[in-house]
Amino acid sequence: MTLTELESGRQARVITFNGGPNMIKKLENLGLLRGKTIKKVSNNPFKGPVVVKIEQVEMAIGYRMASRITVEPI
Amino acid sequence: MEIREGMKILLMGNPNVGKSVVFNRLTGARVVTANYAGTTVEYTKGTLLHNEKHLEIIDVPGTYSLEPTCKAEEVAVEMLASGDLIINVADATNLERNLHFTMELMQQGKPMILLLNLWDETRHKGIHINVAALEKLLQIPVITTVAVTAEGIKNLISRLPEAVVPLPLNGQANGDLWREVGKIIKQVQRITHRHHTWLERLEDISIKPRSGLPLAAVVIFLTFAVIRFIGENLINYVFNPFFENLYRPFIYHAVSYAFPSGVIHDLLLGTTPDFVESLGLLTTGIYVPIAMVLPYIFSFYLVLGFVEDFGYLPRFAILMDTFMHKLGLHGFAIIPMILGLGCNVPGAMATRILESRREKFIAGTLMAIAVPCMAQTAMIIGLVGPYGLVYVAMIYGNLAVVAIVIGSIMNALIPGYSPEIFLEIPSYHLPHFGTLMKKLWMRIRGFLAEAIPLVLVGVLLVNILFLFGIIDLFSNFSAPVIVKIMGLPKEAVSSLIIGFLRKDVAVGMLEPLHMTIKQLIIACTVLSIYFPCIATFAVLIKELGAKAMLKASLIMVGTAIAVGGLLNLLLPNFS
Repeated sequence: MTLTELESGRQARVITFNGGPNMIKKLENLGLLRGKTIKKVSNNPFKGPVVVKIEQVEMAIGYRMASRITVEPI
Repeated sequence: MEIREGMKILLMGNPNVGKSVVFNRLTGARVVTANYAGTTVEYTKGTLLHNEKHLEIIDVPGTYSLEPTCKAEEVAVEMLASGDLIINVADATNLERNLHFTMELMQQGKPMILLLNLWDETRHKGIHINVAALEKLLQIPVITTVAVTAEGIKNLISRLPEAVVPLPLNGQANGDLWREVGKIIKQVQRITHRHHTWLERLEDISIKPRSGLPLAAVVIFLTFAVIRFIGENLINYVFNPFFENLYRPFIYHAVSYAFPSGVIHDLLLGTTPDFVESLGLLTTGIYVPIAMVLPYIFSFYLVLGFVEDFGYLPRFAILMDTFMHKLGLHGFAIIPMILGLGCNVPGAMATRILESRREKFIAGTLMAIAVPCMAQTAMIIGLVGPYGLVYVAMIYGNLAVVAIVIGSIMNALIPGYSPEIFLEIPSYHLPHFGTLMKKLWMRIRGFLAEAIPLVLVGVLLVNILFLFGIIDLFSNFSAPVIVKIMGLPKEAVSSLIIGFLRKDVAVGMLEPLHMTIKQLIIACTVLSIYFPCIATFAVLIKELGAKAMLKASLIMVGTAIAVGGLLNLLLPNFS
């Protein structure tokens, strides 16, 4: 499923990024890597940003970008 | 390495790790710091005296990698070549991500030191880092600091000569940097479980929309209430008594003694006793910036400083994201706007954290149109407030509607689309009192140094323009727009002319016109929209380019005329 579909409060493993090299670079710069375990903190209504926690850090990801990140709930 | 006179030392690292706080500590300089990414958008230089040698310290904007994704990051990468030594500042509570940048830097062949800042936070968060082991693995000095309290800074200075060029990584391709970082982390970092602190619970409450949106409303309300409470009481109980009881008798006696009457007397004191109306250099020219504006500058930056350092702004930006997309921006663009409420100049500078030219154009134009600075706000409260705060609210309501309408139009008409929000959310920190006060003082000093000369020039200019009848000339020339369309007295044009220089003096100049409340509302709204002050204009030209600024100016003037006309048609007479 995509990161946008993941329920808030659930943990998941990052599987793939369906985007260009720029998007992947941006995500990786902040430490969001394939295989990492993340926790979804919140969704914002009306296709607002998704907030995830990875290691010790929270980050906000725009809805479009988040919908292109595939994750596997654990 | 040997420390030489004039050596260039770069402070580099990820955004929001405290580079500017370290910079302030090393150089004694004062640059603005805050708890969110992108506070520093331009590099700043300062000097550190090290064993009688002057070292140039450069505070470089934060960047996540050496491949820049926005203007502030470009500045960072360009700086790299000129550095003789790099102090890599890292957030110790987020070692893995920070080390990735460290490893990128290590391939640049420059002598380096790694600083693990926010060291006190690691204890609270249950993070244990074996510094000696890390030093051994990286083969560069690793120093722990708590920059806000200066812990570790002396150690850093004394260990500067230990900086070494890192050994080349053993045949690592770039793509494998993360794996390399992962290996190091496994060897040096251990995380123990611990209970959530109340700050972390508050972080959760403010990020989840269901609790975060009501909280945001409370924060906004409280912010404005506190700013107004402090500002108003300072004026009523400190500044006004001082100016009326001490300053007025003193200045009138002194000037009348030296110049009993004549042009110079009138130029210094004006022709009426009212401090705002008189338009004298020593009456209006001093009273407006000091007694009317300064109290609000103080209260605004006191509150803003707290909110900034606490770490609330990025969370607010996320909640505003969906709304800001309607204006062609994303949530993070709310931060330049909030800074603009203090002064448009740093607000316009801060648009650099936005990635695309389109966003910067929309943000800059919207700020110039709809974000009145605190100097203007203070004067509006002073002038319109006595009629009722509802009228002040009406002016800001007008500007909010204008921002939404003009933003939506620009979003629809300007080609291209806006990038999405993507940002790291800092942990909440209880602000450090000393840092807060220093920042407040720096901003007040900036206001005094930049505003007062311009206010004096403005007041002088008004006098000259009146003296030579130039204002009359302009009044008659612009009467069709000012009188017919906006329903204002034609003399109001003098205020619009001075508004190019200073908006606070411009609002003050409306007072002697004795307008109706409806006219006051129209004039104050138009005065915000029609053009930014000259200082903001100069920054926007630099950020957007002359051609884009010409377009923006046309939008501003067009909007001002349209809004002035509409308000004149739609507003009742409030009798």
